[in-house]
Amino acid sequence: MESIQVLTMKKLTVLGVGSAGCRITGILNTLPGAENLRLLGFDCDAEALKNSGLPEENLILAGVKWRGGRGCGGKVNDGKAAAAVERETLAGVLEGTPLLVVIAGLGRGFGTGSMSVIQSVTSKLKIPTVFLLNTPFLFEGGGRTKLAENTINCDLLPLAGAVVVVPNDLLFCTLKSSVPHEEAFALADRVMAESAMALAVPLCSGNRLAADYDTLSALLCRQHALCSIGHASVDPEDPEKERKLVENLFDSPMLGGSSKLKKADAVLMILNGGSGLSLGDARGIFENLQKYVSPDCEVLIGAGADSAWGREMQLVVLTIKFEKSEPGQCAAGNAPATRKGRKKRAEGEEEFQPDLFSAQTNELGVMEGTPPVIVDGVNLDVPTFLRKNIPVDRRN
Amino acid sequence: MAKAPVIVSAIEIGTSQINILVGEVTGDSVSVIGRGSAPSGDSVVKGEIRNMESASKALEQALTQADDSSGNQLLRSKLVTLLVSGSGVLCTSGIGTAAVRNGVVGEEEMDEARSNAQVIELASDWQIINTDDIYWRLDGRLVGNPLNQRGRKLEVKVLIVQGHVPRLDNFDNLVKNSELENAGLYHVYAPICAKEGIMTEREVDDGALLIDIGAGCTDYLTAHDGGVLEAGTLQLGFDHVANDLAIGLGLTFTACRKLFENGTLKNAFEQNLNSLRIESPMGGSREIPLCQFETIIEARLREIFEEVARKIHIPGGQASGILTGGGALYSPALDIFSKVFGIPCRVGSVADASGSLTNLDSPRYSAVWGALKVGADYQRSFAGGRDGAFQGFIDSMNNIWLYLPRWIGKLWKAFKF
Repeated sequence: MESIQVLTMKKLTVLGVGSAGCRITGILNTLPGAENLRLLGFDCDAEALKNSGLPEENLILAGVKWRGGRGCGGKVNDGKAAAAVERETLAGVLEGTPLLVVIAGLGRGFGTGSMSVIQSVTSKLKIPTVFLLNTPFLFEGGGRTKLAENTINCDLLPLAGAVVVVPNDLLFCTLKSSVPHEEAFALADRVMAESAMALAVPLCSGNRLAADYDTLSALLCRQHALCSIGHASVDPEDPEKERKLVENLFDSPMLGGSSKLKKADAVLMILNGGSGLSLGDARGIFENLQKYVSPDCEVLIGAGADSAWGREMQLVVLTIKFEKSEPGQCAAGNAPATRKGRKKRAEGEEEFQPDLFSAQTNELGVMEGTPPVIVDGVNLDVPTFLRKNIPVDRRN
Repeated sequence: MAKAPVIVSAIEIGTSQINILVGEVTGDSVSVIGRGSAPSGDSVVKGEIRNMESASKALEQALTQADDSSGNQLLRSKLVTLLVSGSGVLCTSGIGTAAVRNGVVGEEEMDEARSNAQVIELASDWQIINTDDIYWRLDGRLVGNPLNQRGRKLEVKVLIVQGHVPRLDNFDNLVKNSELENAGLYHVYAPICAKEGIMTEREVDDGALLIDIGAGCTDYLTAHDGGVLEAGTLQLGFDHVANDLAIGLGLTFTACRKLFENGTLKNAFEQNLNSLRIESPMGGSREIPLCQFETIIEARLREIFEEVARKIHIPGGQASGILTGGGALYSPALDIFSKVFGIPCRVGSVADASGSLTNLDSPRYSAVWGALKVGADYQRSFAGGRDGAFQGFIDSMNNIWLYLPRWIGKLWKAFKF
């Protein structure tokens, strides 16, 4: 039974995208249990890929003929074009993956530009995908934040399954301002790596309770939400494990403190442990955590027991705070793709009706003014590559 | 006096081009004696007439060319077959039965079954324009041709093509307002014409899917066991591909259309070029990677084929595909066709044309050639009759009255100061 479990887990793929994504995936590679994952790095910067520490055969250097491994200098369009060249390679590498976790830092070049390409490849291959994304610090400037938001709103939210957006600014909630700059970034990367590991494995290998990929996808798709991730572990033999686990959780730098739990619209809690994980343990810990969430909060819990966890009990908490803004809002000229039949979850809001045409009237070209060709509510006069989010570099 | 040959013509008022063929019906065959074509300009959009005035001018231009190339035989046309397509045409089917009265199926019972099959609820402003037998059943078993077979109950499934009368009238008025006002008009659904034009009997028997990609519309048809099973039209065509390219690559629509029309893109792909240099009308040029074109084109073509795939069932186990129309000139489309439908595919172009003008090998002429054949068959079946010598005399007299005004006009122009 154990060998079957390991085989399943081996297929789980984590794709680090861009320099930040590769860095985090590199850290993930050093964590216990990483041998059960397939860790890939995807970037157009050969240096960043090399520095990730991932095995060479797991690195995908994008647009090498065009960029020559130089990176894209923070230009999103160049990043998008470089990623687009590797669609076939990516499809070949990812085919058959039961669950993909994409890790990237948004706001600059390749990580931002390649998101739509990765999304379209994974949706074509029908791979369940969790996008675990960092957004830039506010002090990095509004331009980067806007780029990150556009990518989330236009490229990912309309079509992707689950998009977990963790703002880097959460670090300020728990870290002192005297913490050195490099250390703060390294800590953020490490927490992201640990969270990815803790989140991905139970989502893929299944668990005894409700939290699985479909639940997470149903919760996060089409909704712009800001998330925070907390990760804590204790010795299961510790008599005060319940209290310590919660304390450790609140110290987790990317959770943003206990206030994040209170303000969250939804919380996903996953408890992983060795084969000795008992129902009583799970009950005690979850009941303890329930005290910190608001009564209106939607709580999803998951628990997985596997001997691979050994003598460790690990808790991962994902808090989700939905934004009030309309999903799919994009900067001018960036037509949002849409998916039918998805509903808004936030209270008091009506069912989302895909507004296909408002943002696309300038994208009809010579078809503007002609009787539209509507099939299943989709205007087929709008260029296919726009509707399907197929990246095209318009500046060539 | 020798019998004057019967002249028929076929007109295709397409989104990018108006094509006309003039044919001479002799015995069981039709020979092409004239051809004319003219760009439609902005007069036709997605297979429907948008601007009657400019459509009329384009038609006149094409008619003059066809008349000149046929040695002024066009105006002698007894019948004009007019291709129809677009959203003004709808394909359905009906089942009709008839009791076999004498135990042996005769023409009478077959006609009765056919006419019962055509009793369908027609929306106002719609009329049946074409029908075709899909299959026959005699006492529940499938038969190829039930004529003279013994049985008690005859059943037929018929493909029924309905046309929206006001839209058909637009096409009719264009022709009636031209010099062909005296000819009889016969509407034929474009995919049926394409099938008649390029599909072999074996393909029709074994099962085949035909797709005719034009500039504004894509017509499709499936055939098996000798008959048409399904047919339809999508208002998506190569203009959508050109429009996608124009938007995606920041080029003009006209430039993108030209890339297909003059074969630039096709040649670039065949030569495995890395990029394509596009000259700007304002001066300067741009080098665009060919993969950018490929990505945009493949996305659109794949979508068109997938839309067709949603609407049809590939018939038979040995089915093959035929791609025709202007879109078939873009050779990578064949691969996409095969990938989407999972069947081998060939380019369908005219192979059996005879007469003084036989260079119709472009897939653009598939449908209009088929229309000419359908028109010739129709003429033979329903419009033949009068004595040859007498008919020849009448035709000669008619010709004088038809051409007299034109000759006078030409003379007037020649001597005009």
